[in-house]
Amino acid sequence: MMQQYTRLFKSKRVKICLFIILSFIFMALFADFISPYNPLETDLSKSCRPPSFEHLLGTDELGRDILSRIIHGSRLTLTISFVATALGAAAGIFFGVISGYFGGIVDTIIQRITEILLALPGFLLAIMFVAIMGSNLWTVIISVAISMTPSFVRMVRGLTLQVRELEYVLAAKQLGVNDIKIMFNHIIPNVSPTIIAQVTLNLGTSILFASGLGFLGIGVPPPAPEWGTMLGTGRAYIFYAPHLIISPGLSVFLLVLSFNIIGDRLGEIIASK
Amino acid sequence: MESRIIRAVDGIDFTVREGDCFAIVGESGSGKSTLGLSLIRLCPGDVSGEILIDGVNLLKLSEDEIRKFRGSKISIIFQEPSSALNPVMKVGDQLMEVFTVHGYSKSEAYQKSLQLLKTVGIPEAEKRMQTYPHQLSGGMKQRVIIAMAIALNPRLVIADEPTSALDVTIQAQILNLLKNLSQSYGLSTILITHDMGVAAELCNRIGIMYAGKMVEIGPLNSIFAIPLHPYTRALMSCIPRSLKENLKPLPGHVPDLSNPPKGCRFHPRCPYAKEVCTLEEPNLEKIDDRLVSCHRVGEI
Repeated sequence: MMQQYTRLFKSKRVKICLFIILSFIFMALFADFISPYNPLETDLSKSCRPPSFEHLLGTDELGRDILSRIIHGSRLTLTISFVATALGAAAGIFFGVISGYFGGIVDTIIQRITEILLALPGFLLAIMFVAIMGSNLWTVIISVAISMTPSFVRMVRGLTLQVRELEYVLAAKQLGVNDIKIMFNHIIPNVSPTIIAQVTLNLGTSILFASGLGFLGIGVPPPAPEWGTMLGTGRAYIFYAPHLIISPGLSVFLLVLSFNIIGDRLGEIIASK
Repeated sequence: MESRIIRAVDGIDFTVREGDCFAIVGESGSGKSTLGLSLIRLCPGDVSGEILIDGVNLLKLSEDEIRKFRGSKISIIFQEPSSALNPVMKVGDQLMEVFTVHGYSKSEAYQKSLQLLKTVGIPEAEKRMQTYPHQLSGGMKQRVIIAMAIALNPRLVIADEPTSALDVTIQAQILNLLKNLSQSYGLSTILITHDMGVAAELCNRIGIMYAGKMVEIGPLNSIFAIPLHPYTRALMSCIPRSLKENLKPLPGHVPDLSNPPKGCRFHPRCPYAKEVCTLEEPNLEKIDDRLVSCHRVGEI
């Protein structure tokens, strides 16, 4: 099993992607120390300056240093991405395993609700929840989590249906192991490889969702340096000062691409077993 | 589509005495394994009748009560050792789980598991506790599974083809182990097998099953000496005896149980079948020391 995962790091692409992700994580962790300016400090006399030695990535329409905003923004983006994916995956695993394991009426109820949620595009769902609950960091996290839960429920249920028919589950049952222990010790560990790949892919998707919400002006509210919000406000100056959207756009692009490449590779490794 | 009721196991009645071994022999599809799962109430279909252990009817117990019963009073050894162990859980943890779910503490469970591994003949038990199933050989895995099945000293162990997936030398070892365990623990065993030889090795009474029904039940010795039911005879002639003698395979297949043949279920394959066999279903009749269900048992 472990050997399978070391295969992941043999690929050059994966190494590069991992480096990108780790550098963003590093930026997020030490934002206070490495960012050259306060990301919230405005100086209208320096608005929309192009990149220079003083401001490596230039300044935005309010004269704030874009590099500092990107660095602090990585903290927000990664927080949303990790927390939302963790919550969404946890809820998805919980309902998915219960649904697949018990079947019957429980399964029917959970699956019908999942189908209703799946009928709406995930992003629309996220917009809907933010609209209902108002927009701040936590509602963004929760709405992104909710929007990814249904697909997790579906996937985990399918995997559970496969595993619960295996002999070792029957063997545990016939020795009197209770349902909760069977789910935790026997089913979840055996479906986890696929879940891990899916989680990695969802880390990327959740960044897209969160910055998408920001772009539409219903994400983490300004003046927080959220990448999507930066893109949204910078859009107005796209011809006059394109550097306003290039940096946040590139950051989103790099991070999402890295998560997706790693997720895909993980999926391939799991499928090739 | 019309859903039909399939009686995979139909009207079976037998008793296993304490410390005895009872073998259920039959072809693939005769309902042996379904019977085994039904006994422990893990068969996905409906089960009716009575399953008595020490006078307790298992079919009357609640889900919670039967769960406590499983493992402690009755347990199963499955056929395929490679799939009956959780691949991502250490052997020791799996063994200990049997104890902890039945109320033992972690340290007690550890000690008992260690002891058990030694009992079933696994060398370097401490080390083996920390290994994953794929690091063990088939025979070793089957020993671990047997250890789990006897962990709580059950009254009855159902061994469902315990040696079919193993090669012959390991088969003999596992059979010996089962034999020794049942003698030293006073276990009652139900051995489910398609192999008359395996049954002969371990058991003192056997029941021959065909298409969900018992066709002959009796002491091993007398059934081996003079098989009465034509199906038993056919099975006996399938055992290879010498190189010179050709095997006499039994033509045909077990019937589709969603639409079983009228009369005796064996009649389409029976060389002795007469008109009465196609019309009336025979009952188990007592003949000397055994029960046989065949219309023509006296004549052939």
